[in-house]
Amino acid sequence: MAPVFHRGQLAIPVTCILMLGCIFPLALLAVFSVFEVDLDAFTLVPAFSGQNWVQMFTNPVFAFLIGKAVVSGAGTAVLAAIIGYPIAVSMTRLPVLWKGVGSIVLLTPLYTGEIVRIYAWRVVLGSEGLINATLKWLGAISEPLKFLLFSPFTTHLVLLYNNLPFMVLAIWISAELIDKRLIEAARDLGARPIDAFFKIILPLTTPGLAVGVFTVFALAAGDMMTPSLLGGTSGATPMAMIDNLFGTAFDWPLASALSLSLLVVLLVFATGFVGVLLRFDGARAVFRRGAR
Amino acid sequence: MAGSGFSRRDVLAGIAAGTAAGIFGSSSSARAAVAEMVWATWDSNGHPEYVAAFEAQTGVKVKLSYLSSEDAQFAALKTGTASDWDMINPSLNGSWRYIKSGLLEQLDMSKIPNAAKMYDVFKTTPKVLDASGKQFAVPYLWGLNPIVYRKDKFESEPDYTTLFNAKYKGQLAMRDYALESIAIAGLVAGVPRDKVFVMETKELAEAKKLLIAQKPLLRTYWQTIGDLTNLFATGEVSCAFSWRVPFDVLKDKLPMGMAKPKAGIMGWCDCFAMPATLSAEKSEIGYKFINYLLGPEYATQVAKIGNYATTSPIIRDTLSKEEQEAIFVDDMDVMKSFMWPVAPENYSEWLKIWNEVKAS
Amino acid sequence: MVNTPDRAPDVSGPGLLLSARGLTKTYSGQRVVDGIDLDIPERAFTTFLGPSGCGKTTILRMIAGFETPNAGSLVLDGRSLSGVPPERRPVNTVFQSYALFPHLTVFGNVAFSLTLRRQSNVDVAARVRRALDAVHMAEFGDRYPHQLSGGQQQRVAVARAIIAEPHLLLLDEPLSALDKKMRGHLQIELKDLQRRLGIAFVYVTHDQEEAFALSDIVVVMNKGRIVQKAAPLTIYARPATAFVADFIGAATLIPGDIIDGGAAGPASIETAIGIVQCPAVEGLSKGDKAMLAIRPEHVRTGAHGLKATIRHVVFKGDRYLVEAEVNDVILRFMSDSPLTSGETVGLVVDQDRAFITRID
Repeated sequence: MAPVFHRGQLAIPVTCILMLGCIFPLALLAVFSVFEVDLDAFTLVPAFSGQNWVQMFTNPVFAFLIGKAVVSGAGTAVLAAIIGYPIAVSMTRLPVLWKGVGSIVLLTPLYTGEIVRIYAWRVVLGSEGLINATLKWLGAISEPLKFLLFSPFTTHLVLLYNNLPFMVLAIWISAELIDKRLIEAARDLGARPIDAFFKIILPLTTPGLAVGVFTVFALAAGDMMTPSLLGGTSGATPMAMIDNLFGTAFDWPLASALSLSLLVVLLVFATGFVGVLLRFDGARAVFRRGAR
Repeated sequence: MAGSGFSRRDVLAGIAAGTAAGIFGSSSSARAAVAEMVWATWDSNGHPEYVAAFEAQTGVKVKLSYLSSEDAQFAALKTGTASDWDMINPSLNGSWRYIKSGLLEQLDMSKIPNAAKMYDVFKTTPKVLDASGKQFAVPYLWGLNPIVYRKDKFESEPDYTTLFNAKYKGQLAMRDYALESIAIAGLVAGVPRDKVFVMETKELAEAKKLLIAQKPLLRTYWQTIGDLTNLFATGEVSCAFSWRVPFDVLKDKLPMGMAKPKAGIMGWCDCFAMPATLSAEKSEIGYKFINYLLGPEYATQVAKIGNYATTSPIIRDTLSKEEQEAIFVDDMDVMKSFMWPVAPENYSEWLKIWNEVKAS
Repeated sequence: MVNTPDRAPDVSGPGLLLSARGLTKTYSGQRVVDGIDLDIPERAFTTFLGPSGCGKTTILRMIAGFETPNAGSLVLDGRSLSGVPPERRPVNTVFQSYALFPHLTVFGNVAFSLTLRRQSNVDVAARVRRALDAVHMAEFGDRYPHQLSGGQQQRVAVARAIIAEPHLLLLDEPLSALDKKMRGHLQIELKDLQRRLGIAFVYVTHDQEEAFALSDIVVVMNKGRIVQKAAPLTIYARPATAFVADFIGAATLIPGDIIDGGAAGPASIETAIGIVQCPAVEGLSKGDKAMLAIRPEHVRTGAHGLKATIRHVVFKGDRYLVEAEVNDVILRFMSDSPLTSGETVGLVVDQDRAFITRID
């Protein structure tokens, strides 16, 4: 007779892979972060030094960079949610065929490489780019609008554009699961469409919103290319600094400490956002229904 | 081109690539005769036509393995995941890392007859020697990093101070690279060029102040040379500390100029070296190859196709004045104003300063 | 939307609440509701009865405002409903699946319509308590829908729908998901509630027993049209067409020719089981093809009756349902004693209660 597996046992291989692929490198980072570098021999020297962590907490540049990543990620997530909801909710009302088309259109930008998109944005937003050229031609401006490219505005516009599909998809799937009769019931009881949105759709899509916020926050806060290639002089990111420290500076311990700090801070914020969202009754109701 | 020392590239990608090589490429089965040598180098240094003559002479195939970054090369060697590389390409200024780590094979210079013909500045450089004077690498290709600018936007040839001049606000760019940017600020602050890479805290603070003041004048910091070329081509930037690439690419379309600032010219130089673990048989081929790199065939090809000069004047006199000018060997005085970017021992400090500038 | 009343609705009549004229709804070319004219009086319990797909739910959804008619008009309280969104119609709905908001408590669900109108909390609490009292759910205010049984959820759905005091309450098969016992219980409560509130209920069901138990007026529908609209007793005793006779109480339908009488009053019909004289639907005359409808309770055994052979006997608890064959016609009747298959009996048809109706 074939061996009978308990459902929980089926998770063992995956758990092992996760442990190896996630916990092990993190543990390694933690160990490296207390090592020292011998630049004469060019090797890492096992030590138990808190020096890198002291720097983490005392040098404001680290806090600034990590804080900037958090603000960037959170800002992008909030904007993506605000813009994403109308799109996602409209998609639930499309006929089935058009839903497929809609989701493909939504994802199309992701099929192009990030670099291609970045240079495309330069073509659109540049001093001699599409928008400035058009405005000039219309006589609306005489000098190009410089803030369009190489500014925090650009960074966030593009982060938003790049990550919006993830938010829309997450909310859309969540919204598709809402029983349409709940919306009808709300309308029937006197709710205008906007009331139905805030009282029914929004609460019952909080799980999708949470997934979207988590994803967009993580992707936007961890993006290095977009800020550095489109953000101009404002494009400093902790990721770029980690890259520098690991590579050129051969300061693996400091890089490890910064990586871990960034990871912990991002995780704390992401879990915080998701935790808050999932505490709402809407999310609980969705999970109960899923479990029943 | 990308041989200009360290660059800020994705170290993780490098490690990942190295790891993959470790898993899939560890077939170091010793063969009786060497049929193939793997040369890890930049794509601009190792076109197939550059090495065709060597392959014809020796019957050994040179397989080109292009580097993504110097850091990735170092990491791959350091972690032992690049076991299929037979010949490698450290930068002159980065060689010390490889030498200190014991990654390179010591070279017997008597097996490289062409080395005797090199320019003195390269022949006598101590950067390829270890503390006891043993040689581990040979410089073979070099160039310099000029200021590239639009001739129509500047009345006179710019120098480093131009990059800090508020008059040109919004047209300037610096490389997003701590080493060169801080060094340039040091030069502008008046630090002599032989001292900029060993600046003291006070001088560093001075440089930092200049860089913070410069920030609002810049259109952006450029990341890769393709990035900067795009910035010139689209009119975003009209003067930048650069590599020569934007000049070469755009000179037929735009009035491009190249300036070699008197305060000091950042040079770059690529070296040939062999991993310490290489077999004796392959080493022999390696010696033949570096001798070839310093010989006339490679020098001619790389000068005419790539606009780069080797470290030997072996073919200089056969080139036209224009061809000499293109590769900066028309006036050999340029060698006197060279400065070689060297990562300082406190490079972490430099990085922190650079990030403080960017975060200001 | 097309909404031109082709016949002016009669709004002057006493107690008229809702009137439909030429109401039509088409789904991909198919007329699901096909030109319905209908008046619904105030305070009455009106039930749409029909097989699934007959259009009864679509009518309800058009009254509620979830569907837009393709043609025809709806007038409620003398006001056209054309273009009025669901939230602005003085109508509330009890849904088939209850459609309780899963993220709100019972209190939250019932208070939903009041909280949209920004009433004071005290007032809201009092009204919610009254509504919950009306459905005997006062002590369940803190529960969530998933913590309630089907019957309890149904009561909450009713409380939620009546709290805003609609002029018309729409109920879409509200009891169909419940077991039989609970259904019977809730039918009584609903009827009771309707009397106490004094508002009009429009109810949709495919269950004729439920329709008869609850309704003042039953509207029988088939294929998007109204077949008969009358009090339950009339529907049962005087089915307007063979469809109604068949759908209500599963009558045996025997085709025949009218040989005498008609117009208004009894008629004689010649069928396979002989000539039967009994009440008839209006408008029949001699020579018409018609249908004799005989229900099980119209048949009893008797010595001088038709000669019949017993085919099947089904035990029904209190009595036996017997199928007997007379000249290739199957008649059903209830029997106190267990007759045996193959046995021959005499059958008497109650000529006062059998009914001649129109062929559809």
